[in-house]
Amino acid sequence: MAVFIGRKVGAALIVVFLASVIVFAGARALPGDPALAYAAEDRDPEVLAEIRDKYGLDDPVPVQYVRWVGLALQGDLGTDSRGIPVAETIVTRIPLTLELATLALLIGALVGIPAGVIAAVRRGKASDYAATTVALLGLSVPHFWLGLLMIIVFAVNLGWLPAGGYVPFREDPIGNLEHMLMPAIVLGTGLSAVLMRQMRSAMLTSLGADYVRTARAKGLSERAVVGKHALRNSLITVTTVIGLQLGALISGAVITEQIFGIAGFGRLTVDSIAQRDYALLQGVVLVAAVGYVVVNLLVDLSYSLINPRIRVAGGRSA
Amino acid sequence: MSYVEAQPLSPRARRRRVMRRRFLRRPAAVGSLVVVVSFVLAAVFARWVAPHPPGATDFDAILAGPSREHLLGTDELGRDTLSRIIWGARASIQAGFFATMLAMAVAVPIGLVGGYYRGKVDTVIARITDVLLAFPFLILAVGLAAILGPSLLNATLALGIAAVPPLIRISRGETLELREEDYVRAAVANGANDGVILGRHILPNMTSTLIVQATLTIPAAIIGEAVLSFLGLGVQPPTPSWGVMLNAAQPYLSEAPQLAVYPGLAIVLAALAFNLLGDGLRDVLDPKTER
Amino acid sequence: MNEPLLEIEGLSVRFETDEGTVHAVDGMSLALAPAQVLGIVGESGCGKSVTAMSMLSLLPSTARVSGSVRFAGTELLGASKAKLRQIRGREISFVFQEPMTSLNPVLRIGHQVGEVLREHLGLSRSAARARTIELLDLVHIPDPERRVDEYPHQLSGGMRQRVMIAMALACDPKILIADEPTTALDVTIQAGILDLLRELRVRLGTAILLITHNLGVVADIADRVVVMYAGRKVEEAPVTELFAAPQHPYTIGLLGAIPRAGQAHNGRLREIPGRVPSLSEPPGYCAFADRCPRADELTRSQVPELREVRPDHAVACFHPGQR
Repeated sequence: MAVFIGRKVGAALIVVFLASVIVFAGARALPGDPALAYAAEDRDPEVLAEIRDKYGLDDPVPVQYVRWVGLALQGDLGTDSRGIPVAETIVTRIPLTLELATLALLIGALVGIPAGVIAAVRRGKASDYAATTVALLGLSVPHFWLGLLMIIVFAVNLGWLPAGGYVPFREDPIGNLEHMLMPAIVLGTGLSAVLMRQMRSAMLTSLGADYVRTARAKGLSERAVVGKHALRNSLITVTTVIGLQLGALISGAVITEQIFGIAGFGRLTVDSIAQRDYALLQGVVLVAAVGYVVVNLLVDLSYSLINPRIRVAGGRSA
Repeated sequence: MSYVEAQPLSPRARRRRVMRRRFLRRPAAVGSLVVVVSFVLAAVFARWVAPHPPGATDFDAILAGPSREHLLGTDELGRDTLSRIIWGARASIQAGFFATMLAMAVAVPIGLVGGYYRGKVDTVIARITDVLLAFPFLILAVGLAAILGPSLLNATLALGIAAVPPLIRISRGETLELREEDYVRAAVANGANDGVILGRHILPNMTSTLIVQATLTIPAAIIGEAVLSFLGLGVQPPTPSWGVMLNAAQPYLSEAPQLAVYPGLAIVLAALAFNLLGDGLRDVLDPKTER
Repeated sequence: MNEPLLEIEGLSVRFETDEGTVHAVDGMSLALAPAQVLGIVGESGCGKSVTAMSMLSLLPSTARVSGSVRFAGTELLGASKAKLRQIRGREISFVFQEPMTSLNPVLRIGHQVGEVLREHLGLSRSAARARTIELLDLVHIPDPERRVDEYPHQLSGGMRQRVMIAMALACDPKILIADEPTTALDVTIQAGILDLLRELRVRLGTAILLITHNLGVVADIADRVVVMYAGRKVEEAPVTELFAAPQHPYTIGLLGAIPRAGQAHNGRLREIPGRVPSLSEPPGYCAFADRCPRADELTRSQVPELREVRPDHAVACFHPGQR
């Protein structure tokens, strides 16, 4: 078991390493002179030369990379063009995005999974078609449009919820949730659609399996057959899907934060690209990639824990 | 009494007829096909379909609601929304189709090679794909678009490249499965060379999966183009694109909400049609998946 | 003469498929006495499993079942779901063919066996666990206290099948339906399972409906045999009678097809030429005619009915008997 975990962690580390290389190279590939960003529009060649010297922008790229990685491992991601440490900016903003993502995940799961189960159990009937169509809609609706619509309806017309902004939970929990509700729903919609379809598919497979036939032949109630035998198998299958969806969640967060004016981590990505702020961009994308890999690793490991076939090594095979 | 049916059709043609019949029996699939074709036609023949030129301003009718002259109203410069939506379809369809084709053209050969030959080449391919998959599709697209510079062409390229990793995973997975099939082993035992095996045995059996995947990648690319244009990384104003229109609608949400509603509806309709089509094709081409 | 425990009369099962209606079972009738072992023999697709599953309404929703299945006086076809659930697992239980897929891979086997006990007999968790260990012991699973907490993939195929049997016997049912219980197992393991069934029948007095395509298994353990072909019963007799004097050409062919060590066959296995007919349309004449060496005008124009040609030995054939 330990070897198994070790191997997975090792693979994840390799991925992180390669991702950091890509991030670094990608940032370098952005058009524009990095020194300009630091110089804050001052185009005096002497100032620029000074900046290049100070930040080592003239050194060969591999050297810059090693320097960057070395510092990053110590928690220092450099400073952005305004002199604020990148790490600090990231740390302040991550909690907002984390809250948004968690709420979205909750909404997505609480809506999508039961819907998928119901659709599978009532396959072919009206409720199945309705649920499947709604799910398909959920997949086809772009986040940002849904966000705009919700703002129009709930903020502008009905005035029930604020159109944007953020209030920390500690200051005002109700206000915080009010601000987060629409963004979380917007973000969670896509997730719930995917989960619903996956859950439905997994349940249909389980319900058609031999062990469900056995369960029925044993005289168990339909609730036990569906709720215990079929559901457990399906949930295990769907866990992996949640991991894969986290990526979509992150990219969705980028746009959602943009629309609702939430100063979160996702928005940093866009801002840093727009401002050609290398240090910031590198730090942001690196943290995002590392976070994604870490979460996927956790999901992967928890899947191994939940699935008895992997957790408990087989004694003998048939 | 069993009767012998005259069978003039080859097995492949017969299978195609069965699939066509199965497809026509599904209203959702047929409907989505109609919508998809309409979109493509409207985009291609935009000049004749759109009631107004997309850039024609009319300062007497700014932010107007629907009227006979302007069926869906006008935007902040008095341009006809309906016409701009029709012209915007061009950007979306172009991005959708070409990005997907590019992605398939790159991903399928790589997946085939990796999955078939295995060994070191495959390990490298698999690792790189895993790393690229660590970046969500839209983030990759945004990053690439930023590097390439804002334009429809670059956005298409960015979307195409970003769509490659998941497609590699799929084509590689299919190849890995198919190479274990008995008819492949038989071909190898008969001394067929690799090209023949890949081209005649493996690839044709992947086509249904690939078709379905392509049909499902297109809506992702369409939405991707809208996102990129929304963020200013794709089509640049004044060229109409649904994403650009949505971005421009943001300051006017209270006065003229319809500016945000219509382009979005277009996106939803197009994406929904392709998604439904993809689902329908999947049902028809691979009926063993229980739906 | 005792009341038969199970009486099937005129059972017909049709499936509605995309390609039309499939007549899986046509006019099937049989009776099972208490503590009797009845073997149902036939090729794959002849309708034997469908017959068994239709008794407890375990068929998919595309099935149309008609006829009568009476268990201890109660009509099972069309019975309420609640009534069926009471009988399933308790009075009549099933052992399926594929032990790996028939057990839930994510639940411990103790849990799966205990389920039946808790559902039907209302036992508490601890009582169910104790009883489960007893049952595992009954089916000769070594070290049952440990096995009870294991998952199906940790057991071998033979042991999984024993678990299935234990599960089926948990509530001491009157009838055990075993659908090809040994087909998925190695030959050496098969013998063990058959021994177990024989032993249990003696100890517990359970009637067994044994479904198989293997005549050897039937010879080993059955009291009485029913031969099915293309959804119909074509022969029925006590086992020794059937093997001594098979009447239907199909049965004769089956018996002749068993490879016997030391018997000269000119080096070739004897087979029955031709294939099982499609079940889409009942042909209106003897279903075996196309493969039968005795086929003639008569067999190609009418469906043979079951007739008793020897004492307690019925055949559906126009030209029965040994040649």
